[in-house]
Formats: sequence, C-alpha cells, structure tokens
Amino acid sequence: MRRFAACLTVVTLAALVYVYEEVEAVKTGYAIRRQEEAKTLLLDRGRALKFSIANLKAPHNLERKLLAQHITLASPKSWQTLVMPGAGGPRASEMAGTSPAIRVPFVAKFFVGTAQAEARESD
Amino acid sequence: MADSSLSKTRLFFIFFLFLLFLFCLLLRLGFLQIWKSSKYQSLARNQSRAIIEMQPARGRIVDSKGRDLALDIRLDSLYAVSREIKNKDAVSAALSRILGIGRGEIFNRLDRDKLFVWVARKISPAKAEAVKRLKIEELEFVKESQRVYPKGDTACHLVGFTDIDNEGLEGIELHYNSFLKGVPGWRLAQKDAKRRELVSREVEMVSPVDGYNIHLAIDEVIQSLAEKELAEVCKKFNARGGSAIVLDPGTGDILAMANFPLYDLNHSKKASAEEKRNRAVTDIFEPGSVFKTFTLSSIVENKAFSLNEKFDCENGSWAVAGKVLHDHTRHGVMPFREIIEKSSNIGTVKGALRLGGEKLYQTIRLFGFGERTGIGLAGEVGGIVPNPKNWSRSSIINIPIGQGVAVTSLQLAAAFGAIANNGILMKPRILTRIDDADGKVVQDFQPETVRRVISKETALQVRTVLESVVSRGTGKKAAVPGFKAAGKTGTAQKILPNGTYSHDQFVASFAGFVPYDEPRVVIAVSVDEPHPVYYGGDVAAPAFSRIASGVLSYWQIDKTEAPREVIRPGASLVKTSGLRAAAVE
Repeated sequence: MRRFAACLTVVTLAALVYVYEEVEAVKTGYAIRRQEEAKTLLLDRGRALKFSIANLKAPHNLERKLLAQHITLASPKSWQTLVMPGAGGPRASEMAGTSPAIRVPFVAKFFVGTAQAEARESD
Repeated sequence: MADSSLSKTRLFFIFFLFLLFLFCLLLRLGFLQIWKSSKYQSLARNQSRAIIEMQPARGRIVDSKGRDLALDIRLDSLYAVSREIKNKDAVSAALSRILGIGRGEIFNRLDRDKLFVWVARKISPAKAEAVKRLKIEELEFVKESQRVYPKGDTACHLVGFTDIDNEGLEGIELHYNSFLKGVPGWRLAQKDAKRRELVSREVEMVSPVDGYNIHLAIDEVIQSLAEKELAEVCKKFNARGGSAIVLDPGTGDILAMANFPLYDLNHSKKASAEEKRNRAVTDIFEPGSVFKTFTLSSIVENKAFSLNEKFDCENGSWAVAGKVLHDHTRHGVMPFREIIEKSSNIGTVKGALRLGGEKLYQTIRLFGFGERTGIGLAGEVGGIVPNPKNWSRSSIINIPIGQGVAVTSLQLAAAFGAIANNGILMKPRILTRIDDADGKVVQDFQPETVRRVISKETALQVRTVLESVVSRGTGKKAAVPGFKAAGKTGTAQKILPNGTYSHDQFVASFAGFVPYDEPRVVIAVSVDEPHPVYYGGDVAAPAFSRIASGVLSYWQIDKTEAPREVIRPGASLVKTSGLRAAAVE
C-alpha cells in the first residue's frame, strides 16, 4: 500500500513537472515570436532609414536645399583635396597617384585645412 | 420477499441503463477517436497550422560606387475580415478619415461577405499606426514589400519602375526582372486558439531566396550632372526633349544616360508615355553634320586623298544630282580639314564623291550604325542605314552629311568612342555585374571589344581635325576651360509627315571627347526641336562643355593647358562668401 502510494506520488509529481515544462516551453515560444517580430520591425526601420539616407544624399536634393539657402558649391581645387586610400573608387586613387606634382601656393599652406568644398553665395 | 426481489430487479434495470449509456459513450468515443480519427486530426491540423509565405526581398539596383538607386522597404497593407464587421458605416468613416480614400469606396469593399478584403495596400507607417489605434479586431495588417527610388528622377529612364506587385514594368526593372525578383519561400506555422504562433519542434520551411543586386556602370554624380545640364538647355531653348550620354571610351562604360523630360520614379503613374521614353536608345534622328566625322574617317582610312587637298565650296551653293546643295556660310576653296572644321556640306559631299559610296557605307556600318549596340535595354532600335543597292541618285549627296540615315544617341556616342579609343569600337556597357545578397558574383559583364573600325593613325588624324572644330570651327562653345576638347556639331532638319524636310524643326547635336589627345570621356548631346536658336554649336555644344567640365572636375583631372578665353553665353560670376561646407562624397 505504501509502495503504491509512493509510486503514485512520484508519477503525479513527474506529470506535474512535465506539464509545467511544456507550458514554459510554449510561453518561451511566444516570447521568441515577439522578439522575432521586434527584429523584423527593426530591420524594416533600418531599410527605411537607408532609403532616407540615400534620398538625402541625392545630388539634386542637396542642390535644391543649398539653393534654397542661396548657397552654391564650387568644386574644390585639386590642391585643396586629400584623397583617402581606397575612397572614391579606382579613378580617384589612380589620379591621385599619377597626377603631376601639385603645386600648393606657399601662403595657402598655412590656411588650407582638410578636404572641404567652398560654399559660395549665388548672385 | 417479493419486495426485495422487485428492488433487485429495479436496481439491475437502472444498472443496465447506466451500462448501456456507458457502452454508447464508449462506442461514440471509439467512433470519434478510431473510425473518424484521421478526419478530426486533419481538421485540427488545418485549424492550428498555417503555411506562411515568405516574400523575398527584391534585389537592389546600385550605381558604379554602390549607391542605391532602387531598394525595398516593407510597409503595412490593411485588409479586413469584412464578414465579421458589425458596424460597417462607422468603420468606413473612420478609415476614410485616416487613409484619405472615399468613404463610399471603403464601404463597398467592406460590404462583401468575405474573410479577406484589401482595404489599402502599402500605406505609410503613420497611417498604419492611426488605424491600429482604432483597435478594430476585424482589421488586420500584413507586411508587403514596396519598391522605392531614393534618387527620385535620377536615371529614371534607365532604372525603370515596378507595379504594386513588384513586377518590373520599365527599364532595368523590367529587363532584369527575373534576376531582381527572387524566389518566395514558405514555412509551416502552428497557431494556438488565439491565433498566436507557436514555436514548433517540427521545422518545415523553405527559405526565400532574395533577388540579385544589379550593379550599373553609371555614376550617380555624373548622371545627375548630365541630367541637370540637359534639363537647363532644353528649358532654355524650349526643346521638346533631349538626351545626353557620357561614356568611357576605353571600356564602353555608360557613365550617364540622361534624357529630358524626367519623371519621379516614386510617382511613375503620374508620368506620360512621352516622359517615360528612354530617348537615348528608342529615338532615331537624322544626325546632320555630326555625321561628317564618319565621312572624314572613311576618307582618311581609305586614303582617298590628303586632308590638305583643296576643294571648291562653290560659294555656298552647288547644283548636283538634280538638287541644290547649300552651306550655312559661304566658303571658297579650302583644304578638306578646314571643310570639316567649318562644316561645309558642299566640300564634304565633294570629298565623299571622290571616296565612293561603297567605301563610305562600309565605314558607316563598321562604326555600328544600322544595328543595335546590344546594350541590353528594352526598346533599343538599330537606326536606318540604307544599303548602296537601295540608294537613290541623291543618296551620295545626303548620307555623307548625315541625311538619309537615322541614328540613336547611343550609337553616336559609341561611334565617337571608337575614334577616342584609337579606332576600336567598344560595346556600350550598362551593367558591370549581378551579385546575390551576400555579394557573391552571379554574372560578370566585362568590357567587350566589338571590332577595330579604323586604324590608330586614322583615329589620331580624325581627332586632330575634330579638335580644330572646337578651337577654330563651329564648335567653339564646346571648349572646356583648361583642356583641349574635340568634337563635331550637328544641326539636322527633321522630316515632316509628308516626307519633306522641315524649315523650323531641327535636332541640334554635339558629340565629342576630352582631352582630345588622350580622351577620358565621350559625351553626345542631342536636343529635339530647340527654338528659336537651333544650331548645334549654340544649343548642344555649351551643354557638352559644362558636362565635360563637371566630369573632369569630379575626377580631379588636372588641367592640361593654361586657361584661354572661352565663349560662354550666360556665364555669371559667383562671389565667395567665406562659408565653408563639408565635402560631399
């Protein structure tokens, strides 16, 4: 009788533990799905941001915004430009390597900073 | 005794009833769980499982520097379980306010006895949030992919656009749709009673394969520059349209293919068919004097005569082959190189007569005229170059000066590219490669040599003559400050529907390259029906100059000579404000 009661108790406890684990597994499954949905949402936002960045960087958009502020950009002189290795594709680095010796005006050496375009007011 | 016997009978009878009842239950249980088990298992499976389609991301279209020209974003699409909506009027009113769609239209959609009805597809995040705040259970969302074009109208004719189901309809989107669209996948999802998805131990899925990315040869900055200059010249001269092609002669890479008018790819439905046409490859026109370049090339290649040989330009009027040929300016006797420089029709035709029609035709065909370039864009045409067998009496008068033939802007650019490339014709290249989402190359497009058209020596001689067109001839406005440019102007009368030439409708063109001795870039500009000014030297040549200046500056190519006076109509001074801005890549 005692053995029977003990077996019954053990089986009941095991069953309870099993059910508890199954329920926890399902709850964890729900949590995983929520995280996956959050991840998808973030990836979607990332794509939307990439679109926004590409849109803002579009040359015609930049020009319109600058023109609205009465600013027109002029291309930098070659001695005002520093070409970083690997930047701008093969052409820029090729030209940087093969262009003839660039003469920087003596006085300008004291005033030229890093690569920047000069913004000029339009008429 | 009798009483107890009766009680026992009654008890037995009740017991028997319960037993019968139990037996029926067991039978029913057996029937449901054994006999009909497969049916109910299948019902349960259908109720709890769903096959979810996984849409692939459409491939990106990028320029030569990897800058996005077309990409996907995911937006919410709203659908309704219309059968279960109780108060359709109120729901329609609420949705109409948020979505900006007519209330009646929404009501018609909801007034259907269906479990799935689209209400609005691919709506903005703000609108989706507003609808979600209504907390109407019968309204649900599904994510759909929306094709977007961050550069708006830049390279619009080249890139093309898709429909609402992300199928390509124009341009690269259409021509390479099978590469871009990818392969959908699916997965088996298990859902609970509240339709929440469970993580299943059985993983049954086929992953979607994202579309391949298309890498174009164009450079967004050069494309934008060419479009801007073309738009300016077309607006200034009230033109119907125009095209400008910028090409690398060494590789055949199309760095820019600009057309006017433009349209915004994000609002492609608003554009007309006229605006959507890629004129650079679909429109043919009689090139006019710009074609004299190829007559010159043929004469030099076939050693018909020396370029210093003199011809009489008949003072601007010459009766030949039953018609009278005119020059726009009167000339007398000139060496042939000067005839091209001054663009004399009479002198050119005399030279062509000496050369012979057959040799001229062969050279024209070698340059690629009369056949498609094979660039791989939908709608490309091959132009018209009649065979000498079909020439009329006046063909030898017309064809050398660019009439009686029809070419596309792309063919013109490619042919000038051959002259710039020491006589070797390169196939125009618009795609450089196709790769997958991980960057693994699927298909590579290498520069392709078509054939040698003329010898290197011929090319050098022709380039020298074309340089004089810019420095001393009709193309002075094409001069590029600090560089020696070469090219040819063209002003061609358009043909009217009755077959005669118009006296007030022209195509103005200029094609050339710079620097003339080691050409880095070829540019062909054509403007359709400019007015009141219509000469190529006045309309197209300045656009060439500005595009060339911009490209060389962008590439930081040092000037090869000291600046000299350049005729620049409409040039204005810019004042330095001292304001510095960050360098834009």
